[in-house]
Amino acid sequence: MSIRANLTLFRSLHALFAALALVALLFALGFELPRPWHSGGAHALTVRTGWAVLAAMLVVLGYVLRKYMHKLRYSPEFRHKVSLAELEAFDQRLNDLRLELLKQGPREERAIRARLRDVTAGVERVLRVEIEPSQDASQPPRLVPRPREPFGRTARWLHAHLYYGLLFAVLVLVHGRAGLHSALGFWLNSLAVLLTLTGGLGILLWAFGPTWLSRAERRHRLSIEQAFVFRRHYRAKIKLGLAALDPLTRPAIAQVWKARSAPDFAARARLALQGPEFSADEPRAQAQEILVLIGQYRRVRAALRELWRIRMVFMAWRYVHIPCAILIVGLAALHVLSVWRY
Amino acid sequence: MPERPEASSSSPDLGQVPLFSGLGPAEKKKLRDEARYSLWKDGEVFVRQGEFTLSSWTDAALAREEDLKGHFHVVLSGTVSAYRTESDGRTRVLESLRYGQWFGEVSALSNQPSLATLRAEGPCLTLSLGPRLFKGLYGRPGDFRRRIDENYRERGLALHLRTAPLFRELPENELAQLRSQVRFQSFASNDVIVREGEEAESVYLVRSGAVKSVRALPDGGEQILGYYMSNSSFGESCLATDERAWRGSHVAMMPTDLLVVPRAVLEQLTQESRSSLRLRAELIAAEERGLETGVFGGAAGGEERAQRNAQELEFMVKKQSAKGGEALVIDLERCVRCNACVESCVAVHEDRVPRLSKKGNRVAFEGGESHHRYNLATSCYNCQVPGCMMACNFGAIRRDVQGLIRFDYKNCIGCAMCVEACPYDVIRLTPPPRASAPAESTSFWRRLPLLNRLFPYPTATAPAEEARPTSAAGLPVEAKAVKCDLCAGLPFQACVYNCPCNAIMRVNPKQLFEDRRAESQGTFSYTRT
Repeated sequence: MSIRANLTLFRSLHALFAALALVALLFALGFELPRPWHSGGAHALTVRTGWAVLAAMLVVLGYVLRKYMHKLRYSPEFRHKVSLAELEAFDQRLNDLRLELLKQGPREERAIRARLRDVTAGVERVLRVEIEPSQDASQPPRLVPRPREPFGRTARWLHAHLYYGLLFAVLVLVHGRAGLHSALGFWLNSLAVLLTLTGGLGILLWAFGPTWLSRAERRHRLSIEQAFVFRRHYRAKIKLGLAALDPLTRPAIAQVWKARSAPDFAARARLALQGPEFSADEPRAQAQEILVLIGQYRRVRAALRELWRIRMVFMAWRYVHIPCAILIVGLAALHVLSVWRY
Repeated sequence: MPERPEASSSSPDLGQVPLFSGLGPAEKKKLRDEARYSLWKDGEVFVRQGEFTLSSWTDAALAREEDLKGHFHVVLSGTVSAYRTESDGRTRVLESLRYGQWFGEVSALSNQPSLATLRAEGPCLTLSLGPRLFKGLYGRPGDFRRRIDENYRERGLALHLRTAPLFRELPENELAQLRSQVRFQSFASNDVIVREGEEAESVYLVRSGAVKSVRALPDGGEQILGYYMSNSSFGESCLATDERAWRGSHVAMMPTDLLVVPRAVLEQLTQESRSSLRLRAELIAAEERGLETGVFGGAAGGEERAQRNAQELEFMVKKQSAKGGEALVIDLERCVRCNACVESCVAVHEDRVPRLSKKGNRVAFEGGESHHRYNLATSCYNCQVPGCMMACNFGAIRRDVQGLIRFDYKNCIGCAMCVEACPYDVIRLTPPPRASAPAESTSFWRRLPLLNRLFPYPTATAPAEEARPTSAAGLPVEAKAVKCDLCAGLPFQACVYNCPCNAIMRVNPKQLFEDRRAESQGTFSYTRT
């Protein structure tokens, strides 16, 4: 039986590169492995690992930078935007080329590439055209335009963040010799360990959590996004309904609305409907409608609580990871500045 | 590049043009206000064969070449030639149009690709009517419509018949024979053209509008077998020797004009042509039957497979997940609900309104799974028969040359007709763009998470005090219709590009089902969210 999880998080070339980088570094250090129980050590080792730590940290921060630059529209990709008219003119040129290939039969890939340079003129910053060979040899290849994605997908940056982050943590420990005797050493080493642990936990939870949430959503026949919307919708409708009720009947129904548990809700609803103010048909029907809404609201709220709890479980690690990351970056900057100054 | 004459005094009197002579004063005024004169240089191409309709005016003062494609044009001076390239690669001149003659009515009526390439032979002046204006004039019975129809029978019909697969190979003299006996029929929206089970007696060609073919299901529902828009045909089975009954009822989806070619007329053709037509009809009928066995399965391979294909077809079409192209799919085994997709969608749109909707069909492949595996999000399917485009009376929705449905916000007034017409809830209305957006809205601090709360926006100006935005046609804009535009013009599709877990993707639904079929043993379940 296959594992129901996002295993793509563990399949990355960056893992290999990070491992190779670590091996290379150790090799460069001439296998002068640090001994945690000894403070101090060779100056060269400290300097070399210090530079390596700094480089790894910058790579790790690249993910965050990439994410926020895009979200805040500071990413240079936005300046590449071409107008719709240019895009449509390109489509027309590409269609003309397809037609030409169809009429003249297959051509060498090099010749097609040369033609494509003219076809993509003006839009080459935003897209590229892939040449896919046709299964039928007598047919010309397919020309498929794809977005250029100049900086690569965020998923790849996450892989880099993950594996170079691990490398960073190892390098911090090597650089500081896992020494806890100074305040800065203590904090930097501890934070590196904490970041590694929370990051590792986070990746595991991100790999397995979505299936868990999806299973709960299927059980409730409600997605977490829907639950949010329905909860707000029912609440607004109940408030409108309560406002439309007669002032004599409203307090009884308002009491039901405040019920905490399911048995409490059922008992209060039964009790409310037995009151003399609900003996007539019309107020009783009105009250029943609102009680149905309250029942639906309670069901959605219960589902949302469970779904939200699951989501919190696999997202909560970030509340430790992110502040720790900010702290370690600040301390590292302080450390670099102090080393450079003194 | 065409230019608009500077002075209106140099423009010809429109009342002198025979086509417009029957118009009333109000219609003539509308024509003067909305139609545009365009000067064309020798060799300039108005529209190429196979191009889709493009937008109406984007600049009120000066018409650009690309804006004029797909319009209805009347030649006021000079000559315009129509060329058509056949499937065998031969190009021939269909006709030369001079003063008072026109072209582009089929494209203007139906937003369909042009049947021919139109090119200016020497400098010429044309009057160009946008689809909205043309539809308005053509929609009223009168001389204008009568002239267009008569002209169509004389000139356009031969071309239209030639584009139908059934008649493509007929010799010229026999095509002329058909032309004289073809009947014109118009149907209102929802009119039943033919009923399922009845014997097919005619071949139908769609001149404008849209037709769907539906089969009644035992549970009272209906299964869609196909759509037919302009330049397509149905009823070829009437020529087939074995099965002549209609496999489904054909219903007009909007006001539709059809050309009817009765079987009796086809029987009058020469023996050689009849045999050729019959062979072609049987091929077309077999192709249609093949499609019915399943969009994902190809040829039938036993009862079980046919049933599975029918189930998939049912899901993908009736449950609104596939109308061609690629679907936006969220893998629920990977999605951590971080909302990066929506945030990035917000980031790429100037109005800060996300186009992405996570509503859709959740699919579970029953290979021991207890959770939904995929969410087929409700993204624009660029329908073969786009209800939104047909419903828009303001020229704000069009197809581009790739076949994608595009919104032209200069023309959109927020009437919500497209929202109602879209069967998939893809289009949403947002507040109209403010005529004077505050310059501070793009400041650095307001973009930062959390910190932006320290730099609140100034209190919104009361709508009454602010100048109301207007469309290119000068109409007040009530709202703005938005839908996924595939991040047009940018080097990425934001949601796919920015997902940290590779959870969101654009895939061919057919491929998705085929990939999962083996492990799920062909069964699946779904929920609409």
